[in-house]
Amino acid sequence: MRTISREAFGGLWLAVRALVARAGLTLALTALTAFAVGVAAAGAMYLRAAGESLLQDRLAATSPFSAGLLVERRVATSTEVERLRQLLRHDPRLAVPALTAPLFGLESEGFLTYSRPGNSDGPRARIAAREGLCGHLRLAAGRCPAAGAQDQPMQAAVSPRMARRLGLRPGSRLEATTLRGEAVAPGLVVTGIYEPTPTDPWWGMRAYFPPPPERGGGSDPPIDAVLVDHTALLRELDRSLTRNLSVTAERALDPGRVRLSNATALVGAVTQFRREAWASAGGTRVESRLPSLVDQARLDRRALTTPVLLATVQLDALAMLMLLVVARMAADARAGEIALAKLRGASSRQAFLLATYELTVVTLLAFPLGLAVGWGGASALARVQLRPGVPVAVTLPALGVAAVVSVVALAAAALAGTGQVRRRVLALWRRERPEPGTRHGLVPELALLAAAILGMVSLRLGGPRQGGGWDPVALLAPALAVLAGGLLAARALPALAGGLVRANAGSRSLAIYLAARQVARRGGAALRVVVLLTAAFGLVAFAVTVRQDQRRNHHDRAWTEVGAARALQVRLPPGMRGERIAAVADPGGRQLLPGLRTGAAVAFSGTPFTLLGVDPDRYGRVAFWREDFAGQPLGRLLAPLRPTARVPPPELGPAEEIEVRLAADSVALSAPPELTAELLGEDGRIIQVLLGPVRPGRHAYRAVVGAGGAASTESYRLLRLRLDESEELAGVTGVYRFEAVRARQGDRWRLIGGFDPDRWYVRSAQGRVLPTTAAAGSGALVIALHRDPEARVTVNSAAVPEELPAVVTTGLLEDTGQAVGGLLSVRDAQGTLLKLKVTGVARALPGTDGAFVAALVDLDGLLLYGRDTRLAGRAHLWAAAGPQADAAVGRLERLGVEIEQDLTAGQRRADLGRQAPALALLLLVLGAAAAAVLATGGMMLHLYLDGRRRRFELAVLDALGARHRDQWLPLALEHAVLVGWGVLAGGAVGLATALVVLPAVPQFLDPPRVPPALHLPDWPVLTVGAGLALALVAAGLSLVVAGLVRAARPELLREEVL
Amino acid sequence: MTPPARGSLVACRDLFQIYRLAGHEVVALQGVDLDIARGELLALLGPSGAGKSTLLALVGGLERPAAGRVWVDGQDLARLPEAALTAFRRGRVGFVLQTPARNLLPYASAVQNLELPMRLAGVPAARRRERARALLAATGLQASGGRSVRALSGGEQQRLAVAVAVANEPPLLLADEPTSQLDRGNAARVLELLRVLRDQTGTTVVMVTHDPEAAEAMDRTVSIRGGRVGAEGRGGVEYAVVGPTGLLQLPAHALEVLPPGARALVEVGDGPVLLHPVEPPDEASR
Repeated sequence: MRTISREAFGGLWLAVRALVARAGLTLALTALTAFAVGVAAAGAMYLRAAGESLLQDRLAATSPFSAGLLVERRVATSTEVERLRQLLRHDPRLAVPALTAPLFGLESEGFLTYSRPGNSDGPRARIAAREGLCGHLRLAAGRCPAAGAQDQPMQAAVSPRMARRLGLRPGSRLEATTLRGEAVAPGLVVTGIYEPTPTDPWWGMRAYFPPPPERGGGSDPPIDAVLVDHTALLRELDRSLTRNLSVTAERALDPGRVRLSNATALVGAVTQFRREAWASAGGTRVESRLPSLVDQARLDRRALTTPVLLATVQLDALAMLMLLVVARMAADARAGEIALAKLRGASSRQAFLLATYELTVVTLLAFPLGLAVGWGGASALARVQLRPGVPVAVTLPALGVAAVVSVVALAAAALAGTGQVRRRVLALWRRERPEPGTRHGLVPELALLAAAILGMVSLRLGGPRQGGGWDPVALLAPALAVLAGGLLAARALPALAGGLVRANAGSRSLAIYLAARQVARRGGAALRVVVLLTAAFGLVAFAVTVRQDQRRNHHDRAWTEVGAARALQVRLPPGMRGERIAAVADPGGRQLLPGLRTGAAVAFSGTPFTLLGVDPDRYGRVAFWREDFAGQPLGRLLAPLRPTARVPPPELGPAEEIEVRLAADSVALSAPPELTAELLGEDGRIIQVLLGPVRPGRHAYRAVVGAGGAASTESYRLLRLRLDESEELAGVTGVYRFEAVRARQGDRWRLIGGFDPDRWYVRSAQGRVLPTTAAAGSGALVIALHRDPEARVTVNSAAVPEELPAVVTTGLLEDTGQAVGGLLSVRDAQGTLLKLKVTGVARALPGTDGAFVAALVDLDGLLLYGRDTRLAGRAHLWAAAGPQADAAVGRLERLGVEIEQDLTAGQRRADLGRQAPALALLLLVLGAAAAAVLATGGMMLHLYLDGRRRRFELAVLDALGARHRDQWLPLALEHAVLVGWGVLAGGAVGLATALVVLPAVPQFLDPPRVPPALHLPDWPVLTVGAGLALALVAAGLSLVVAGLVRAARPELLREEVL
Repeated sequence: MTPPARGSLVACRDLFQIYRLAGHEVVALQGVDLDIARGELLALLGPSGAGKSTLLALVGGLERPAAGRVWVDGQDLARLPEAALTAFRRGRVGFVLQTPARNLLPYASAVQNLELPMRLAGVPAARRRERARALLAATGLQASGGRSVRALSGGEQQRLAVAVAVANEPPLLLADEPTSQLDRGNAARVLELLRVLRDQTGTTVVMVTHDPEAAEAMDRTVSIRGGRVGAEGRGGVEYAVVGPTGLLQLPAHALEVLPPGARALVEVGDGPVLLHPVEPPDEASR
């Protein structure tokens, strides 16, 4: 044992001295080994960090309370509340460090009705209390409610809406009654008016501040909660609000304390919490989105695993190849020493140790260095690509992978060492090449080539591989292909050079002849380095091509999904329509595109799709478009969508009330149909006004227009009248004679007009146009519905198109089996049946959020036809790129438009860049670039070492009086051919591999269905890259050649120096 | 096969060696018979490609003969297992090669180079240091022990190489043209060192050389020609050697009278053996 350790240490000093003596080679070896270790470790570290980033993204996209925990329970007494509080606060089983301490609250189960004393009518709202309320209540007037005395009215803060409705101010008295009509004794006193702060995360999942109701909605929905002190409400629980309150406890999630490492335990703790809470108090509602969020993050990470693995495997394969080549170079450099040791009687074991010690020391040095490099690389990548603050840690898997690579490096060293030990001393001295029989011949290379070809064919024929998962073919085929390409290129080089020699045999150009001759007789180490260089640059070309392809497709995808440079959802000022305000802010029509994007469904199949209404002219100027989206120019595609001249719907003018004169006959008395008027507001909203059940005989049906009967100055147009069956399957039957419409403003009724059959048409619920008759001379319209009762009948203004011309996606055509010119029956979000006439087809429709199934129609037509009230008061707007568009958006804001959502194509593209395939590709590009630099360095080192052996040849030329040019030019040409061939052949192989693989490896691309991905090489980038690589290589070569020529002096010919 | 003569350290019998070079075979040695006595200083002479270095490699256990036997210190090298052959190289033979730098690790110091063979042989550290000091003193390199090999001159490197070769006190030292790259003064010092080594330790020295002056410094010279022992010289007199099959190589000056391919009549008298150049009758008539 002592002998072994003595030998080991004895060998160590020799190895260290040798490493120092061969500093250049040592540096190259250490750098390569560290690179291999670093890449492997970086892959694992990056994977971990990216996983953390994705988890943090998921958590950040959700509010802390939503991601946390909600416990809600209906309680009868304050004792129950206290019991729950004790359980949640003090039970150690429910201690979850990543969740904040519970925030307790009380709120009424339903809505209470509030009124001033002596007045029973008033708005409905929840009564609520929350611990620490005063710290978060923003008061407009008065003070925060306190607990107050037991028999005094409960102190309360109300919202301005409540205050306006009831004329409240601080000090006002207020009464509240429950749903069951029980009064909350002894009433309330207003201490303050608060400003609703729905965006304050402190309110958690409690929706105490509902948005204002739509005007004209006709109903009176609940308004902002009345907020009281927690103790006071708890006290009331035991008195007037018994069984009317719920206790809530919310625990927010602290995302900073959630890591992938503790996520599972956290989910387990939350699950346990739910179980315990349920067990301790049955009927308790416990909600947490954390398990689903963590699951989502895990899925994200799984999707990332394969691409990162793909990048890492390819980089490591290249690094291994480099290691083998350089280990062989190092072993060759030591051939003389091994021979000397054998000459001195070193045993095989001793010679082996001597041969491998250096590489062992290098590997041991490279391990921590590689980890540091890997950590640095992963950190830099994380800083660029991942969520800020995500830690990059040296994890156990990273250490394990690094250790495996180190072991492989040692194996490479051992392999090279064994080769040297086995050779005879004289063969080592003479630097003999291995005998042809023992040289690793064509067989492994052919096997590699076959595997690469099979892999590529399998990829092509196998089609796209969606999602993650292990796919060894996809993982290895590209790397195998560039490696096989490298081998072919290296084998072809001497043959090509031989041809050049023959071609230049009679030439006067000594330089070309000598250079070609040297290249032709090259073998072994030089060709191995050519393989290495080709493979490295092949991988770079492959990675750059794929990444550029991905970036371009990400660009197109982002722009197609967003629709233009920016997509805004805006809240419009009262009385304003999107298209009108866009026309004001952008009169030229080149910067802004107003539109409406809504959901719809194919009538017969129920297939959902996106319906986009836009101004066709502006769409052509503002929206993103790619030539291959449609088989015709965009202008020609959109032309049929432009509205033809239509009769405008009858204008009611400013109206407070509407009246429809209708005579009905044969109406089913048991289930009379209901008459509703649909009015078009100034802002494009469609307002439904219920005129009531139809009665037999001739009647005037009246209804108030606008909320609460308040005086209105808004102008309306009558779009249509609707007869709906009052009960399911009752049907609409009878004879209806629509005679006239009148509108009232103030005390004055105005006749709007009759129902001229030229200006009105009638449709059934299925979209059928129903026959009508005109009452002669009266301007009335008569519909007879006897045979086929309809569920709904609409009397439409002629302004409402019977069919909307539409450009549809191929996806919608495929689903419906229609063709251009056909009619599609679809239902909008409210169930209204629309007829779309297909005038054109596109593979993608920008602005439809990447929908594969979508249709584009004219906005005016859609607004007249459809009844989408969800967007009332709001509009979608798209903006072009550039300062002029930004200025137009600025003008919009100055006109009172409030931007609620602002999504840019740039943001979307950045988001796509942070998804799994892009992250992995960046790793591959950077790693391959570093590998190419190292391979070039290795090549330069080889050329320099080889050149040093050939200084004698140069010295002889010098001594013979050869011209300076004849000395350096052949050498420079020879080296340039070797390196240039490696770079160019590698580039070509990588590019070819990428072009073959690209459509088939979606682990790289994550291709969406819309828009269809394009796979075209980015020639400018590739050309610039190749030029840059060649320039750098040429600069390196110049240094090497200059150094060699300078060192080749005639004094070298003195034998003693040699 | 004649066994080794009593008192001889090296004995070669009918030694053949064949190399395979660029697809064809080269017969480097074709039946060498040679005995070298213990403590003898022997010079191997001959033109390039005659087989001198090959003979050295076989005697040093670097290669195995294609045929024939070679005994060194009683060990039949052709039949030694590989491990034993390695041990033989470690302890029973020392090598000095033509290029000084090839004998030494260029990045190590003189002492470290001296210690390397002893380290390989498992010599304890104290003994190594002591032996290294003695060898440095013997070679006149006391002041250069800590210096790197690169810092030594060619002559110093070659003397150090000799010291390294005898570090494990082998009975046989093989030197392949050790003075060919040295100037006259340095060459003389190396030759003197070899003689001193033989005188002090009884080491047998076999040296390949082209240098007549170096050969004269040896006890005996053996000329190798065409892979065979052609002549032997002692005390300034060269003797033709009759091979085992009666083969006799004429000295160079005799070849002027009897060029290769000539015919001769051999006349054996009481004392001398006479060669008469003749032309065969059929050729004469033509």
